[in-house]
Amino acid sequence: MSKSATNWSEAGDGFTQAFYVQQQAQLWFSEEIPIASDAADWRALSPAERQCYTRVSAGLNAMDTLQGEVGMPLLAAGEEDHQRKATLAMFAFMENVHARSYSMANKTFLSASEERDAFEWIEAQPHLQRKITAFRRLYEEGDALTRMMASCLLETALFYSGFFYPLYLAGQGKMSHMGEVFTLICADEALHGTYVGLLFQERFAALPEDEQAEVRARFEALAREFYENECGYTDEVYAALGLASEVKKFVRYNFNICCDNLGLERLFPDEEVNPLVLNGIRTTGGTTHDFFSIKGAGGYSKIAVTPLTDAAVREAWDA
Amino acid sequence: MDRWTELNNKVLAGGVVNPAHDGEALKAYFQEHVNPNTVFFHDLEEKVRSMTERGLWDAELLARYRPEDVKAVFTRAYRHGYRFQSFMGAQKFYAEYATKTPDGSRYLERYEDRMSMVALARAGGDAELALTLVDHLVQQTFVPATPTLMNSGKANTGRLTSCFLLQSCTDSLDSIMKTQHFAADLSKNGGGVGIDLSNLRARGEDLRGLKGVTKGAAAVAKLFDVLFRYADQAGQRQGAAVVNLSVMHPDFQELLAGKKIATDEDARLKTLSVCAVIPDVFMQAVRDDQDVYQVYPRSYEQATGRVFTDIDWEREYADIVANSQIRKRRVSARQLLQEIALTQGESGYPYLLFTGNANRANPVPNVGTVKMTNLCSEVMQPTLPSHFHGYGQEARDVVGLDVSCNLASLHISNALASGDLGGVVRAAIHMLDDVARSTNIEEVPAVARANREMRSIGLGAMNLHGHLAAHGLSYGSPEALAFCDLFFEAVHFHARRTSMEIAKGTGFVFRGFQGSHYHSGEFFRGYTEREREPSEGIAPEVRAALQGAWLPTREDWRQLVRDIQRHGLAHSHVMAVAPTGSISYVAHATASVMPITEKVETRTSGKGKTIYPMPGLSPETEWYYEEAYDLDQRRVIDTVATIQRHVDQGISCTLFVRSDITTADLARLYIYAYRKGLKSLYYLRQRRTAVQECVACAV
Repeated sequence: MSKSATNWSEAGDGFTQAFYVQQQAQLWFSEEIPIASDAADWRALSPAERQCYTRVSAGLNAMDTLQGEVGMPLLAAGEEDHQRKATLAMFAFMENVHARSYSMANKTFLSASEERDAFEWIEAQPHLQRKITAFRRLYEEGDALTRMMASCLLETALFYSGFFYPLYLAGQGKMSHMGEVFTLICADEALHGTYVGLLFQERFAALPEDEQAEVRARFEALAREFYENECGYTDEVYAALGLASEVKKFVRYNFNICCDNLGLERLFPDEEVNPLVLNGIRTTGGTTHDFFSIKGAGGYSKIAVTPLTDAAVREAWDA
Repeated sequence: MDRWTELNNKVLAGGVVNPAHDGEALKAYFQEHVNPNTVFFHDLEEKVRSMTERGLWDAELLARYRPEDVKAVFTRAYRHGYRFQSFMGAQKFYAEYATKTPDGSRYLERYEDRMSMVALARAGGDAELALTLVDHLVQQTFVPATPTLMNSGKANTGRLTSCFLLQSCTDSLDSIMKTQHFAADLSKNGGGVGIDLSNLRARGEDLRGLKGVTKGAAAVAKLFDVLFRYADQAGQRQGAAVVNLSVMHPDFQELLAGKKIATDEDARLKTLSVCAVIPDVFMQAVRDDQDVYQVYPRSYEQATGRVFTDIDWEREYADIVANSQIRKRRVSARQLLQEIALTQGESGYPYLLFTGNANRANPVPNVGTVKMTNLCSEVMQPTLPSHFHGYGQEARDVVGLDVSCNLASLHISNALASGDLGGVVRAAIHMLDDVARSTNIEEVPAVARANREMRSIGLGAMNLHGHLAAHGLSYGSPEALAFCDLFFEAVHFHARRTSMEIAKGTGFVFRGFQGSHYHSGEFFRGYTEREREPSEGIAPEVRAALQGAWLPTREDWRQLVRDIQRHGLAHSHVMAVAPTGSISYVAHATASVMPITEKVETRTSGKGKTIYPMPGLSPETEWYYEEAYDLDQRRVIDTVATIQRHVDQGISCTLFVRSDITTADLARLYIYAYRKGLKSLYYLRQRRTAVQECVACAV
């Protein structure tokens, strides 16, 4: 048990503080976005489209719950450094904010029985259940390196079959407020994936070569297994909309990003991904939005408070 | 998924930006969408007959012209061979402006048809003027504000004006509820509404003799927040409004908290914009690091018989502080400014309105003081409070003065390229004058009164950055400032002279001209008394950017002032620089006088994501297209301060910062803007530090 306190004045590993500050700057809550304004769009979707939307959200809810309850807390527990623990704990907090935002969307768009059906579907969907069971086991029984690998795989690759549809619709101007929620979530997941990937790379680099080869092989086997599982999931969820092959391209693209984060070789050849969806996850820069109809995921963050000194006032006043 | 959407998104999706895909998207959009979905008419007669029979075009309007005159206008429109230059522009136009069949599936108007109808409608039966207007509209030397562009010439016309300021939310339940009614009415017809709350008694004041029971201004703001999400434009676009509250009002902090990220649902202002109204005394207290005393409006009224917005802070403040009968709340000015900065960081709001600067430059102090601003913070006119009563007691109502403002924007490059800037401005002012004369919003009496008596209009400009980039000038550089100074002075001269000519020609002079600073000539003293002409010795590249535009001299101004003193002016105000969203896309211009935000924009709206490369983006211009977030914001403020000298109202001025900015940095920008004479600051835009960047600088 810890007997010391976190000292943020120390540079630490040189990168953790930047991630902590970044997550803090990105802090958001679903209440900030008027998702009820999508109600008319929601009603205009076909039953198949609504079902797809509901299911991908439900699946993501389950994944975020797993990350918030098990994945991130165990990663935090496995680190010695206070700054790292704090950063991972804040990531865990955001995972729960994500899960809650899916639930808020359910509450807004679904009837009580539809909502119940969605949760029942999660418990019965075999690919989803396989994923949850396997990753829970990896977290609970694996070593630190395995946990990091699993976490990165989940957040950088396995979430994206679910992200595809909301981003695809938002790119066409449908469900755009929910689209903002997804863009905010993607920005968080990108941060988490990069950070955990860095932690992974640090430990990986310290291994002797034969162990590195073993880890590399283990990752590839795991990734292949769950890529197949993801394809099965995608087929079931997207078949009715005829989007399955597009979604799989996007999933492969994100598996490659996951490899980049872990510093391992890419698994799939580059291919052209749906540009709408790709532009939906672009977190650089932010977007120019119609300020009066959309809050804007490009947007706002907690900024640092620094006192206004006499010298600063004088300089601006006399300029 | 549509092919044009995919092509357009490809501009950015590859490893390198490729604007060529935008041209492909534009072509596909016309070939596969617009052309096959446009209703075909054999000739103009059939088109006119069909459109009037469908009840879409205004038959009465067309009957004011001879058929051959109507035909001449359409012919002229089509002769220009206009082509959209971006997918964004074409899509904006066809999705939002072109008239469609009632089910929205087919287009009944092409671009040229819409411009012809705007010209005919705004020329009011004058065939010659209609021809002049249609040339300008199709060539986009200036572009009217969205409602004028969209609704002109239509039979069941929506309103032509979309900018309103209400000073009617005064301190009684009747006035508050009446203002809600007015606001909903304006909003459902597409108006953006500014509402002043400063005269409301604060939370915890007395009500009907009961002590400490009132709920205050923030609670009323919450009512408006909900109202504008309900009273939208038939679901097409959300309603939009800003509430103004003085920093000297005790509820100010509570209102501000409503825009913060983590706040109670009952207090949160989800979509309502907020403006901080800041008098000089507050800024002086910031300078001296003193406390200010926020004044409880009800107690002030009981002690003095006057309302909060009557307070002349310069003259009265010391007495108020000394008067023990007036309830006050003490707060550190710097801390409050920090609170404003913090909230702007989290939400983009509030806007800042510096009433000292606005009132020092107010040309009509005889009418009243500037107390508030509008949704885009560029409208600056005096308002007077109204007082309303319950059903059946309307006779007791006091109708004050609100604001209705009609806006249009010059396209700087197109206006200069025409070779006749004076002609362009004259046409634009005539068009705006017609909009004002064609508007009568009886449902909101103080708005109708303002339009009738003041007939205010606001001509602004767009494509400043695009024009500077095309001429190899850096935004905010001394040369760019010299260009702004000369260009906007010329625009001001032409606009004011046209307003005088209209007064001379029609005999209409706005109410309040007598006794105004226009009448005394004081307003023009900077021009008429100057020792040297600003055009003397200007750099060749500035001269090149002006493209030979005629520039007024001190003698020209003196003559104009004499003419104004003799004939009066038709409009209380003639200029205001709006932010120009949609219309700058249609006209292929950079927005307003602001720097670009991205060389290639990703624009998100209720209609989806569109990729928009900046006008004329090329390896040559790229260097001059510095992005706003990379600029020292003092260059933006300097630009606006330069233009402001020639603008009787205000200028929408956005600040662009990165997420690593601190509250002190922001506060310094506020002080700088205030000292440079800016009347207002519009919202704050932030570019988030990207993950890649934070890894790059950390690892």
